[in-house]
Amino acid sequence: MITELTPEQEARLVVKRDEWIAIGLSTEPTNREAAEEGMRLAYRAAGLEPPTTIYWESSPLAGARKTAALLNETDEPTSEQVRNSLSTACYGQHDAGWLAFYDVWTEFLELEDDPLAGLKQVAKNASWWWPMDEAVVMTDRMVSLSLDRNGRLHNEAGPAFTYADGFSGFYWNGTPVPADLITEGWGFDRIMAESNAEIRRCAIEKFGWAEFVKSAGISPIEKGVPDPGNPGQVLDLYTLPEDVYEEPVNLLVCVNGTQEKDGSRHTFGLTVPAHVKTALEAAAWGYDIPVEEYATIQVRR
Amino acid sequence: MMTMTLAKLEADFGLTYDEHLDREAEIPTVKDAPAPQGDVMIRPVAGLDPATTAVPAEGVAVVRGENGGNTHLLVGKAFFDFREEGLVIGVVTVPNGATALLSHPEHGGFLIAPGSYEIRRQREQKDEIELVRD
Repeated sequence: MITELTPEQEARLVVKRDEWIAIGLSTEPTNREAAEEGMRLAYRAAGLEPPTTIYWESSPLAGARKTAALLNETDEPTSEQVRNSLSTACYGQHDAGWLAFYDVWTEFLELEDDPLAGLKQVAKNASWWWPMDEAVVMTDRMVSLSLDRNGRLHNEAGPAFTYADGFSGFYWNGTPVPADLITEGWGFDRIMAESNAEIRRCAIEKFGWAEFVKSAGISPIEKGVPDPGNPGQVLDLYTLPEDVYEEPVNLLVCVNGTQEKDGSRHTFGLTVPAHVKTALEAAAWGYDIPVEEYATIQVRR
Repeated sequence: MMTMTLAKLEADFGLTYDEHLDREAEIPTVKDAPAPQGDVMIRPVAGLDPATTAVPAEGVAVVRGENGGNTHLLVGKAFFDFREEGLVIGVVTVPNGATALLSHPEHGGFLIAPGSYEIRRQREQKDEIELVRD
């Protein structure tokens, strides 16, 4: 029995974590042959005879449709039938999260017969799949994936993920958003007409906070405060409308300490808690240092 | 002391900066006051335990940029310990007589005077408090 991990085992956790994250996020071409071999291993591990009829589709959506069509013996499954087929899916590469956990124990306990070997092999080679008695539906990996630095789906210029058949999704820092917000960008009126607060906030972030307060005609609480270390530039502080975030926030609008290529300076907004009432306090809050110390800044870049 | 410029940093440290930045402008030195460099701040703090891990020749990426580029890189004869607490990433110590640099391709560089400093991140209040990533 293992009661404590050795330093070597702890180091292996990091390696295994990264290995399985890479599997889950892989956009490498599908290895159908290896995936099918993994599928057969998984059937046999469950004491079942693997089917010889294998259907390949290019996305989880297409896989769900195909499965619904087979199970309901129809060429045109209803949305409900497609939705129902999701409950019997295996997630292939997207099973990485839980497979990683068992993979570590298989290694640490030196298990010889790994009942999950088949599922792991599918995960390492393909995407979602649907095991059935008489047939199996398997699908290819996504062809593109874009994440933000927190690992959330995010792409400012296009879909955050795509599959070869065109199935794709648009995301802003992990929030699913309408495609036209990303592809065309929303103007102020469209943003304000959005009823979903989370999507509205994403749209404002894409629009730009500084631009947003200007368009919204919000009056600053404080305006034109000299920015320490940034000669000639000023800080403005605004109160944002409620329900943009869960907590009420104020917005500090600042100007970059460095010039852009065209000689202009980028204006940007930083959100601070609403209890922060002056521009200088807001700037100091961002780095969590006393406002008196922030005021002594000589240079900003 | 000789005036340090981006052109000289490129030559001496093998660093590259965005083309439009002024190659001949003097590089500011951080000494007695905090200095923000985009979403990172270098801040002198009295009584810090000096860092003890030598900065390797290729530098230390104290904060990596979104796509691998745009990293805040610490280079030169200095020591840096990762000591993450709150917004603090770590502590940099520059020994007497040494020259060290906090560099960023878009923001240029700061020379760091001998002494010990915190390197901090910047945060924002959203639904939760999040780190700023420029």
